Amino acid sequence: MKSTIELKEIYKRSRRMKILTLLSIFSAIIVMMIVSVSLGAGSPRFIEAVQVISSKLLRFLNIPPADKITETIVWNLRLPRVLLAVAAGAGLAASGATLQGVLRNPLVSSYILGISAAAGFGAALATVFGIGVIAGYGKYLLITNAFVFGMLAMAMVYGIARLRGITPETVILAGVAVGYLFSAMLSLIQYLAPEHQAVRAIVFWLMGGLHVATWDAVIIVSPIVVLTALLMIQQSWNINVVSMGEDVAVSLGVNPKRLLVITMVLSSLSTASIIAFTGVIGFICLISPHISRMIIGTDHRYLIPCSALIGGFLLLCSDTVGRLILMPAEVPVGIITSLLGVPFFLYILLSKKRRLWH
Amino acid sequence: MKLVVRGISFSYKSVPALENVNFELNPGEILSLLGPNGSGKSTLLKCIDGILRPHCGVVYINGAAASAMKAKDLSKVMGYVPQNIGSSVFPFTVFDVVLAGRKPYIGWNISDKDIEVVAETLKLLGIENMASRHFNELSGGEQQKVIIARALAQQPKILLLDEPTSNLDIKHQLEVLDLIRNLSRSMGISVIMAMHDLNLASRYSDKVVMLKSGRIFAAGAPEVVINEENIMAVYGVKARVYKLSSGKPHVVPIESTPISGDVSVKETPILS
Repeated sequence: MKSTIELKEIYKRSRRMKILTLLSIFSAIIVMMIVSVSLGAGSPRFIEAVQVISSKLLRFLNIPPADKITETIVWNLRLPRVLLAVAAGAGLAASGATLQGVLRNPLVSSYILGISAAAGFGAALATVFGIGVIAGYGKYLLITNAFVFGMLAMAMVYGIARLRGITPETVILAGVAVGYLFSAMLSLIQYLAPEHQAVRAIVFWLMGGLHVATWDAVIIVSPIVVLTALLMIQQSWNINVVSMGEDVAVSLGVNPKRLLVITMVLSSLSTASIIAFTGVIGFICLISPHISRMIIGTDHRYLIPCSALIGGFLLLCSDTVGRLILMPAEVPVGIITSLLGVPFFLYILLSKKRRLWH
Repeated sequence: MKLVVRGISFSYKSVPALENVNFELNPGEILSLLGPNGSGKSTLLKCIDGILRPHCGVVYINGAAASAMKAKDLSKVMGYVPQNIGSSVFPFTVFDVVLAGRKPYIGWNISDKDIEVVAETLKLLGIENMASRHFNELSGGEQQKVIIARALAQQPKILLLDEPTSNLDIKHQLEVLDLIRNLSRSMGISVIMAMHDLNLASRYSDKVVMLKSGRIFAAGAPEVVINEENIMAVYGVKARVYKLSSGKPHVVPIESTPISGDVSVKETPILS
């Protein structure tokens, strides 16, 4: 028989452990970022990477700057890429965790609403025909196209699901349907494309990669990821209650339909703005929530941040491997996440006695 | 709190599930909803809790219409224990599940009071040693207690239970119903429960309402309502009803007979 005080103590201890876990993953990301920056062609040493970054960020310390080449590699090439990897992984994983909870389905990823196919279609329109939603040329045409079509897919899913009442089932089915529609149109473009060059570019885009990372991308993507993740975390209590069942949620004063719409908008916003820059990076958004559930439990107040951190960490590691494994060639990160992710995922799935879901 | 149900009607698409249901319940009273499968017991509970919106009729809580209350305020006075309990897809701990019952009271952070209420509730149901176990790994009886604990953590004045004993062995049935009766008596909680077991309903209820095809067929004290004619008319079951020394009726079913087409539904009686 446990006393109330003991139960309270147990609860507080588990809360401390969870916060400590989050902090340790965060530290691991920081360390991995510096390691990643210092690995690769023409590499600066670890200490030089630290030197460049700290001389830029902590000017008041008056650390002597490193030589020009090292500085360019670290500051202009590697650092934005590393930061974009963390931001993209975090955003995709936070969206995945949120949608899995709200839709009460462990197979859901942030692409369930058909976003990836739609964004791919938008990107293909820009690449092959130069058709865009904004006037302009080059990569911003592609980026805005991918983003706008990604959001369009979400709007279509919402519109279709609304006809029969917004429930997890209607949203998932509408998402699958919209996804198929856009991937058919995407195939059509590829089939009709006049030049092979353009088709190759689309295929490459669909594999996902972080080679496009620039400071621009980091500055646009990171705030969106952080903001949407915070807003998702703000919904944690509602998500907890809804993932225990819709009737129970209503009787606890939560509106499941409203929550579903809010989280659909947040996750689409985050996912579409990430993949507009990086292309489709698979698996991170599916696997990170599952890993996090094993580490930290199902309470979404901790699950969503943990998932974001794990996603950031995994994508950073995958991208680092992808850069190094076939040097000087680069393997797109989307391939690496699945190649490394699948065996890892199966391992944790089969080795743990604890059930991940019912 | 006094609960008044006035003229509730509800239909799924075009199939009517409830028609003009009326009854009243005083603080600390236990009411059992009886009736065969599909007679509208679960639907009625969901209409009372606002999970389903009745097409007409009003539920009054201490004179105030429940439909006009904010969802959050309603969830502070009314707790609901669903029938299908294993509905959590992901593995929440017992503590997390019961803590969810505090949802109406919490913004973001859990206060000491919330943890205290959860701990007290766990102890009340004798499941405090399971606090950190996973809900999905528990037995049916344990799960039932956990979700009752969640409803109690809401600190409700009205408790709605949908077949709270259907997953339980006889020992757990008695334990759970004794507990509900004690809570009802000591804290003045009004209880409405949908029941299949007529004898348990007879033993634990102050009032029973017998539903047939969405209408109230009979309502009143168990010794008045639970009789051979009503059981025949509502369930189509020939039964013997004996009187126990406590004065409560005890049902022994004999055989199932086909229900005759037009058992006239009497004027809907109103309980007071």
